[in-house]
Amino acid sequence: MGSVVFTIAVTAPWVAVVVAALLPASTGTVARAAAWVTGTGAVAAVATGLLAVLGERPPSGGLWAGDPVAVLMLMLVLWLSAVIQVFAVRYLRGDLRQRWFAVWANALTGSTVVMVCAGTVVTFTVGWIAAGLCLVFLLNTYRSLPQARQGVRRAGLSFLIADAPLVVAVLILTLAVGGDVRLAQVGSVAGILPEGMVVAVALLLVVAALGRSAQFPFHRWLPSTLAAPTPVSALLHAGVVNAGAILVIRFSPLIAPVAVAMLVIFAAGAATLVYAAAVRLVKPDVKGRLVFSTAGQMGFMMMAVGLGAFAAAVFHLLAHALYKSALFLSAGTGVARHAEQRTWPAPEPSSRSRTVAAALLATTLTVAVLVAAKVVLAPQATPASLALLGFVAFTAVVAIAAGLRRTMTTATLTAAGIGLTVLGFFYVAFLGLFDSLISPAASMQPASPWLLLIPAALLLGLQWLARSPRTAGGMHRVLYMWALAESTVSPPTRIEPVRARQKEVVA
Amino acid sequence: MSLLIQAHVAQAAHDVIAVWPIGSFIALNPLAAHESTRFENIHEPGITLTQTLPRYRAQYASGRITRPDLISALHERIGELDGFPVLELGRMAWSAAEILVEEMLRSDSRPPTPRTLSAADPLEQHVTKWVAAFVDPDAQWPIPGRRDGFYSAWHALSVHDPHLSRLARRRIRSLPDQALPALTAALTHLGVADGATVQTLTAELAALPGWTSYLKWRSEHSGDIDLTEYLAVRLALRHALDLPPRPLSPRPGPDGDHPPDPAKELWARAEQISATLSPSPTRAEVAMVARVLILHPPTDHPFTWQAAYESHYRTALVQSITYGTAAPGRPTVQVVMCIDPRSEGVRRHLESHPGLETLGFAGFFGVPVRFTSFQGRGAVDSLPALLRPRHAVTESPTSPQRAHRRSRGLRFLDAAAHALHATENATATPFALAETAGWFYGATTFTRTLAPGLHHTLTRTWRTLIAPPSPSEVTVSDAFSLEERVTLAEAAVTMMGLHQFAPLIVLTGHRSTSINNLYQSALDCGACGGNPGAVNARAAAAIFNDPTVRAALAPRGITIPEDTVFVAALHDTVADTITVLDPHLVPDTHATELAEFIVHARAAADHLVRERATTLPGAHPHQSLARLRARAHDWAEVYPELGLAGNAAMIIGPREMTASANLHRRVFLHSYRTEMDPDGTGLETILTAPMIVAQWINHQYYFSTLNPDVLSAGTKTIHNAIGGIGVLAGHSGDLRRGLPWQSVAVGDTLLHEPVRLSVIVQAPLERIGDIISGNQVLRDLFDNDWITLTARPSPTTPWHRYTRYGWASQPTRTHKKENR
Repeated sequence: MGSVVFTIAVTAPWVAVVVAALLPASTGTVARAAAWVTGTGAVAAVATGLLAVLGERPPSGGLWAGDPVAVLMLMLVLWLSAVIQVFAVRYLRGDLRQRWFAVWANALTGSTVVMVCAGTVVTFTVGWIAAGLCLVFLLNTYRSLPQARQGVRRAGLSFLIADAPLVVAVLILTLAVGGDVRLAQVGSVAGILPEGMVVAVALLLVVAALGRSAQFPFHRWLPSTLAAPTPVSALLHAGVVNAGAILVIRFSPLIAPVAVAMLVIFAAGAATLVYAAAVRLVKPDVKGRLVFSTAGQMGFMMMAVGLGAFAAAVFHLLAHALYKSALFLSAGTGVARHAEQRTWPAPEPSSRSRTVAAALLATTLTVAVLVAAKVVLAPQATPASLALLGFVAFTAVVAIAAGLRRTMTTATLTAAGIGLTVLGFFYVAFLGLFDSLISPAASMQPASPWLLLIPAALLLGLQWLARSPRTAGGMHRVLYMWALAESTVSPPTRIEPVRARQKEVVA
Repeated sequence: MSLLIQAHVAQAAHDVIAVWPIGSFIALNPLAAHESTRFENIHEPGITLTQTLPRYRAQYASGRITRPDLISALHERIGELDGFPVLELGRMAWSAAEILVEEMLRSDSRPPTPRTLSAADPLEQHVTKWVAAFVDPDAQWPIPGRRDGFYSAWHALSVHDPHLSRLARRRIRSLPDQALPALTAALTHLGVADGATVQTLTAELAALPGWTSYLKWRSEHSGDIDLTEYLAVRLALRHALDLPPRPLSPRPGPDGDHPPDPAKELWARAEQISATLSPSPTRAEVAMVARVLILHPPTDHPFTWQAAYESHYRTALVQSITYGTAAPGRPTVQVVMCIDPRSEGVRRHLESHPGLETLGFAGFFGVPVRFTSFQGRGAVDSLPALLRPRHAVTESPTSPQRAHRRSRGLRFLDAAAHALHATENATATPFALAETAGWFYGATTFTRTLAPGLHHTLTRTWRTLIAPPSPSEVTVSDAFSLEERVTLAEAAVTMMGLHQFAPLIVLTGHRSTSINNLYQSALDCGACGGNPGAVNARAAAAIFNDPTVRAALAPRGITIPEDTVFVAALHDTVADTITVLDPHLVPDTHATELAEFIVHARAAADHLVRERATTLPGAHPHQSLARLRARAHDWAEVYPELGLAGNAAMIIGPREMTASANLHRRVFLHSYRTEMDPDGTGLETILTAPMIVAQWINHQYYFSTLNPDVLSAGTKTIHNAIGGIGVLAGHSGDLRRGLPWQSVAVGDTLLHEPVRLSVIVQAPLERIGDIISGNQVLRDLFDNDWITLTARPSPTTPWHRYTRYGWASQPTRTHKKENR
């Protein structure tokens, strides 16, 4: 039973590709049919998950991994893809490129499913490269637009440069044993390689991971991808960019023991995090902000990976995928939100005493709730998990203080308390669950959690700079200018004559 | 010097059209600067004025354009044809017009294609990033030195720009730090001669038309940036980057398209046509044909096709207008609706109720207001773009407890929204926010996509629980003096020819409900500045119900019966429902009549939703009403409704004229009765205000349809908004202008027929003529073929067509058959 539903889930996107490619356009239901096929796959993925909880694990021999990471990712990928495709059925109605989208979105889904469920090195690599290719094809949806072609060029080139090391690393591994290697066994393969070679292979794999996740120094392709329809952006930001973390986790028996590799992951993540936070502050366009937000979130995920907190990274990956896809799909709500908030009562002028009171209340409430949650639900504390909990605490303080400073009534205070308790307990419990599902590699050499202080301090400094221009002086201007310069994607060099588009419409 | 340069800038900016932000979208004629030019003589690089010849021929094949249409269009356009003798060709008699038609149908000579836009200028990526950062309404890191103005802020910062060379930065440093002196200095450095300054500046302003038009609007409204500052930055950058100014005037079209010898070309055309009409044409016959063809050069063909295309529709429309007379006796209910073409559908369905009469009037009901909701933090200018807001109106709650309850609820929502906004935008908080909130976002994505109706019901329910609505009335008497209110009321009554008053008069504004739609305000009421017309309807009802106003109207000859009650309502153009606003203000005496009207309006709405489903992409008349209406709350829906697509004509006259016709929601209907407006001031206002708004809308749709790349905002699916200001297509570039492609087409099928507005008036011809000759704007529009005018003095007289030379009789469908 477990293998039946699993097979349905894995094959559904490929059936959808065939349906989308072959169904005659005259039926007018190409995209809808494909979305429903993938939706069937999504239901099968949930069934796989349920069966796994009940003890019947999906096939884990042969090509497949069959572990909790695979099952979790299988559910995420299929559900998100199905929902985004249903969205696109209406969103791309009448669009001449709707079929193109349906075909390649499903091919991307199928490849990603292969990648996340892969049990061997070669299967993983095939899925990985295919997913990259499918994304490039999706970015080419509106190929008549110069900006779209620019996105295709940049993403394609980055993937080419970043994926080559993966292929080399996999070649080394397969040649060393003379055949395909199970991912769980890559650690033992490392044992038969010379030590220098192991470090080299680990670094090659890290390069591939950084490239796919748009991490420094591969941070330039992501901002150039906005000339593709919104559902493509949703798939990209919720799906494809997350793959970097999956790669590192999959190859962790090999990578995690290499201290320098883990440090590189952490450093690239931290650098991208701070860089993206700075650029995001000066971005005026809604999708541009989302792009740099994603780059920063991926940086956060990579930092978690570098700290060896794989469970936290997967947790972040899943939550961020849901978060960012929702934000992209609702990128057109700004005007309505502004019109609605215009009718709300003008905020009362905030006094210094209320600000102080709000901050104090927020801090007390947060510390009390989170300490309680941690003690009750997950008493064992690792430095990394405490550090990540620190981010949650800080966020809660900011949110509650901002809300209370705006309106301090019993209602808001109660809501803050209830909301914080629910979210805090939920967070700690869920993270604990992930911790128990995803076991870290045996001999890990993670980066030190104390290193987190560097990006945290830089982020706070940046915030202070953006908020208090008076005190910052000349430094303020230089940094603003740098961020603004970094925020622009230089336009494609050649511009399209108007005619090309018309040709396509006629065709 | 600085005065002179200011004058130059003003002159260069004169023809720039101010474009409203998308938050309050106002339809405009994007080529309004050319209205003093004849339509077919406009030469704008990259802009198409007509459809393509293959498209016209396809429409000829399908019968949308007929041979009589072409012949009458030729006669209208070429005066010489009337006296032309019949030609003998191959033993057949041909009229000159017929020969021209043959050529239009057969010739393969193509008019020159419009020139494409010039190549990308390396300057633009610099300019656009600065402008966008400066105008960002929700900047998380405000541009340093913003208060010093655009140029000064740029000057102080760009000396640190890592993307500029050392030399460029040195050049910037040596420029003055104020806009005007810098502009002068940059022009001098660039070697622009004094005489060429205006042209140079004009060319610079044409480079990013979307941003330029928005900045012009902004300079007139908030004033924190103007075109002088913008030009100063552009030219200073040109100087710094060593880029020459844009070429002064667009280069003339490629000469290769035109054969060197027009006479030879004409002869070739004549030979070709003669050969198709006669088996072996003689030289004399070819010469004869050439004498005809010279009247109609190939560049004119598309304009003749377009005229025929439009006259086909207009002729049919005029013929559907009847001689009907008003129903006798006092109606039981009168519904006054906006002139918007979408009102025509509701009015047609409402009128099935006996005793119900409908009227058309500008959707702001003559009451221009700046509105702030009770304790609200921002105002909306709910008035036509032609007017400036002078009357600030707000709400006064009728139940203090409920108002208090509501504002407490709204403050709660505000705190929650602010907490979310703060954590989304601070540097260190979005990570944990995504980890905790992401799961809930995922759940809403799921319900919003798979069950949008359910999601809406749930959110609306809890929103109502937190902040329940509170009854109120608008504070009209604070904003308008009694004299002003009486004048407004009198003008409204005169203009719409309200000659009798029913016991219940429903003033119905309109709005459109959609979500995740950056262009939602383009679907709202154009007469209310791209806003819902609710507040204007409420204010107008308050004015008309005011006993002191009524008392003051009586001496002016307007007696509103004591049992007449005005009620404000709102028509939702997606669901087609009519909601009564302020029901608590309706006296008990009229409760039954109102209840009856509501029941009837609901039935009318159901019929109309089904009718509209036949043309709405992705909808089907067999779908459930709930599903059709759920489009309003579907975040994936890019076609919540078709808006004003299809708009083609405006009829000014009493409703009896059109009562029996189905106008398919394509016609602006303004009620007007000659006898109620003895001195013609009412008609003058109609022609110079509502008609102009209709013309703007019409031309906006026309040019957005024909120029998807330059005058339309393109497909919504790649739109990237900057606050409520405008959208980019992709990651950067110019602000997009006009309507999104989804407003005018689905895929490559047009939803909007590009026709110029046909204005049809029932009023004395001399009165119309006097108004036009006294008004330059109207003269330009009608004389230069931007729109057409057809009129008749009374129901029993024939129609006349307005021409530059006077009134001509309107051809009818049974055009004199010319022998073949």
